[in-house]
Amino acid sequence: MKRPRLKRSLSIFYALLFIALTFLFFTNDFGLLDLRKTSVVIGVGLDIEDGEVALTAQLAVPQPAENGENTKFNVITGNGATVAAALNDVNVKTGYYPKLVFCKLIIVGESCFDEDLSDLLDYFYRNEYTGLTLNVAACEGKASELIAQQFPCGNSATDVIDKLLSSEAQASGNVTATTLKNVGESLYSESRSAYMPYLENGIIDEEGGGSGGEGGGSGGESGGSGGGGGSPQCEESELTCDKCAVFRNGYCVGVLPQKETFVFSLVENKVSHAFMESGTGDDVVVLGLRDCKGGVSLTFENDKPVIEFKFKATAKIQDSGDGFSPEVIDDKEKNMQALKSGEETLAQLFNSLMDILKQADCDALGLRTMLYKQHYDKYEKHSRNLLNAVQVRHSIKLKTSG
Amino acid sequence: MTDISSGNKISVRQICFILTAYNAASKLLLYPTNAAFEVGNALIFSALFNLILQTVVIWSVSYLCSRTDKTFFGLLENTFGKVTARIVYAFFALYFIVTAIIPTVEQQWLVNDAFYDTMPKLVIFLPFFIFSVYAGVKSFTNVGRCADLCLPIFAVTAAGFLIMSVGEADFSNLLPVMRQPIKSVAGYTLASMFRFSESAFLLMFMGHFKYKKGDAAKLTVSYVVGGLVVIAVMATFYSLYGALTPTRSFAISNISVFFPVIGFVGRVDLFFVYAFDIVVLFAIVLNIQMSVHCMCLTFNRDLRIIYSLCINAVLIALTFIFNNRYLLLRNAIGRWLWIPALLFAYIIPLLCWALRRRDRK
Repeated sequence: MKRPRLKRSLSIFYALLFIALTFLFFTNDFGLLDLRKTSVVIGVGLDIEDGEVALTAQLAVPQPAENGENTKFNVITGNGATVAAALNDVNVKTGYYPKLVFCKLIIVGESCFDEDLSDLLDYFYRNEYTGLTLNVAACEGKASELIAQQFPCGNSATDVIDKLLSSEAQASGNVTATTLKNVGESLYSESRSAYMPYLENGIIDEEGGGSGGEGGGSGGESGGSGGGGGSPQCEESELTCDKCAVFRNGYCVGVLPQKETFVFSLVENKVSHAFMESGTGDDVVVLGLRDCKGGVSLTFENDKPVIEFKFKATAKIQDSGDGFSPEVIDDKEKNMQALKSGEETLAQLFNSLMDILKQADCDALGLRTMLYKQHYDKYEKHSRNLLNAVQVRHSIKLKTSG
Repeated sequence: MTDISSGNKISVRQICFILTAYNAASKLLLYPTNAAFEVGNALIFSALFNLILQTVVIWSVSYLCSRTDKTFFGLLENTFGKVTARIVYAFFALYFIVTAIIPTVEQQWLVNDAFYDTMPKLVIFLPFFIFSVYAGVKSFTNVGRCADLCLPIFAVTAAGFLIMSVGEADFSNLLPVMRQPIKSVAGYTLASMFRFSESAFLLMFMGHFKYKKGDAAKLTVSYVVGGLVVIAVMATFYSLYGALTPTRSFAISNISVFFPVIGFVGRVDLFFVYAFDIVVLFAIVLNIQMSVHCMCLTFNRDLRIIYSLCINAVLIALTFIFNNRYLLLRNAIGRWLWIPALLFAYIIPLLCWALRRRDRK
C-alpha cells in the first residue's frame, strides 16, 4: 500500500514543482526590451582626451512612426580610464547600459594613434555580445566629431561610413575595409601588424566647423530619418576613405597614400572589378580590371626570403587622355601597350608599397605570419629582419578582354 | 519486480546513433574554446589522440558484446557476486552524475550566450530540469527512440554549420602542424579525457541489445564518425578565428556568423543552434538516465522518480553554485575529472575481458 501513496505524493510534488518553475519562467522578462524605452548603439568613436578614453556612441532611438520619423540618432560621449568605463559613463548619462549587439562600426580617432590599439579594442573582444563582424576604421581628427556629423547621403554618420566600407566598395579596390576580427587576428599574429581604412572628412565650410555631437560628456541629437535637409555645413562636407592606416604592435605607424592603398587592397581584399590609371599626360589611360586575382607569397631562394606580388586580371581601356575615335578602339598595339604600361604601373606601386612598409617596419602584409606558418624551420632565423631582407618580385599579368 | 538488469531494450542502430550524435553534441559546447586556449592550433591533435584512445576502448567493449549476452552487471555478478556488482554500479552512478556537471553548466551558458542579448536570470534555465527529471526516469527503450529522433537533427545541423563556415575559414591558421610543446598537448589530452568517455555508456548498454555479426565494427565506425565531426568543427572554428579563438565561447554559435547571407537576412544560423541544442539536451540527459539505471541496480529497487529527482536536485544545486563561475568549475572539478574518466571509461571497460563470461555451475 505504501508505493501508490508515495507515487501519488511524488506526482503532486512534481506537478507543484512544474507550476512553480513555469511561474518563474513566464514572469521573467526573457532579456527582451521595449524598443521604445531604449536605444541601441550603432557605432562608436574612440578618442583619447586628457589621458582618458572618450567613447562617443551613436544611438538609434526608435520613435513612434506617426510623424514619419521612425528613428532618431543621438550622440552621447562618455569618458573613462578604459572603454568599459567610458561605456559605463554613457550609461550614467542615459540611464541604460549601451547594447553593442547592433553596433556595426568602430572609428578610431587620430588621438588614439599613439595608444596601443589592443588596449582600446580588447573590451570588444572580451564582450560576448559584440559581433566580430563590425567594421573598424581610423579617422583624421576626432572620431567624436566625425560620428556626430551629418551627411547628405545618409541618416547617420555610421550609415554613411558603413556604406563607404561596404563589400561593394571593397570589391572595387577603393577601400581596404576590415573587421574587428581581422584586426584582432592580425594584431595577435606573428606579424603584430594591422591595417584599417583611414577616413578623411573634408569640411569645406569653415564657418560650420562643428557638428551635432558634443565631446566631453554632453549629448546631442544628430539627425533623424526623413528629417530632410541637413545643415548647410553638412552638405559641403566630403568624406573619403581611399587611404589606409597601418599599425605595428598596436601603434599607428603611418597612412598609406591612395595609390599604394589601392594596390594593397588588390592583394589583401577580394577585389573583383576596379579602375586604375596608368601613364601620364596625354598618354594616360584608365584601365577597367575584371576577374582580379591578387595575393602575396613568400618563398626562399638560396636561403634568402623572396616576396612575390601576384596579380592577374582581365583589363580593358575605359578611357584615355588623347580622346576617342572609332578607329583606335580596335588598335591592338595600343591596347597591348596600355596593358604593358598598366603592369609596369602596378609593379612600381607594389615596390612603393613595400618601401613604405619597410620604412615603417610594419608587416601589414603578414609576411612574418606566412613565415611562421609555411616556413616554420626558418622562422627563428629570419623573423627579426624579414622585412628588410626580403627581395621583391612581381608576377603581374593583365590580359585583354577582347 | 521486473528484471531491470537485462532484456533487449535498445537496438544496435540506436546505440550507433548515440555514439555519433550524442558523442559529437556533448563535445561542441566549450570544449573547442578550452582546447584552443590550452593548446592553440594543435587542438585537433589533442582531440584526435583522445578519439583514437576511446575508439580502441569502444571497439573492445563492442567486441566483448559478441562474446557474451550478459549485461555488465551480470558479468560483475557472475565474477564477484551481487554485492560487488552493486558497489561498482553505485560508483558508476556517481561517475555519471559527476560527468554531467560540466556539460550541464556549459549548456546553461550556451543558452545565456547564444539566445539572449543580455545575461538572463538563472531561472530561465531551470525548466531544463523539468525535462531532465522526466527524461531521467525513462528506460533504454526511450533512450533509443530519442536517439532515432536526434540523429537526423544532428546530421542536418552539423552539415549546416560546416557548410556555412568552411567557405570563410582560413585553414592556414592550423599551420604549422604540431609545433606546440608535446608536453602541453599531452597534458591537455589527458585533462580532456573525461569528454571522451562514451565507452561507459556502452558498458551500460551491454546485454541490452542483440548482437549480430559485424555490430562491433558498426558501433566503432559510428563513434569515429561522431569524433570526426567534432574535429572538423574544431578545425573550422580555429581556422575562422585564429588567435582570437579562445575569446569566442561557443564554436557552434560562432562559426557561421561570417556566412555572407547572414549579413543580409540576419542570424539564420541560430535556427541550427536551437536545433543542435535539442541534441545537446538529450546528450546531457543520457548521463542522468544512466545514473538512474545504475541506482536501480544498486538499490535493487525501481524507484526511478526518486533517483531522478535526487540527481537533478544535485545538478540544480551545482548549477546555482557554478552560475557565472565556469572557471571555478573547470579548475575545481574539470581539472580532476580525467582520473575517474580514466578508471570508468578506459580501465574498467578494458578489464571487462577478464570477467567471467560463463555462468558458474
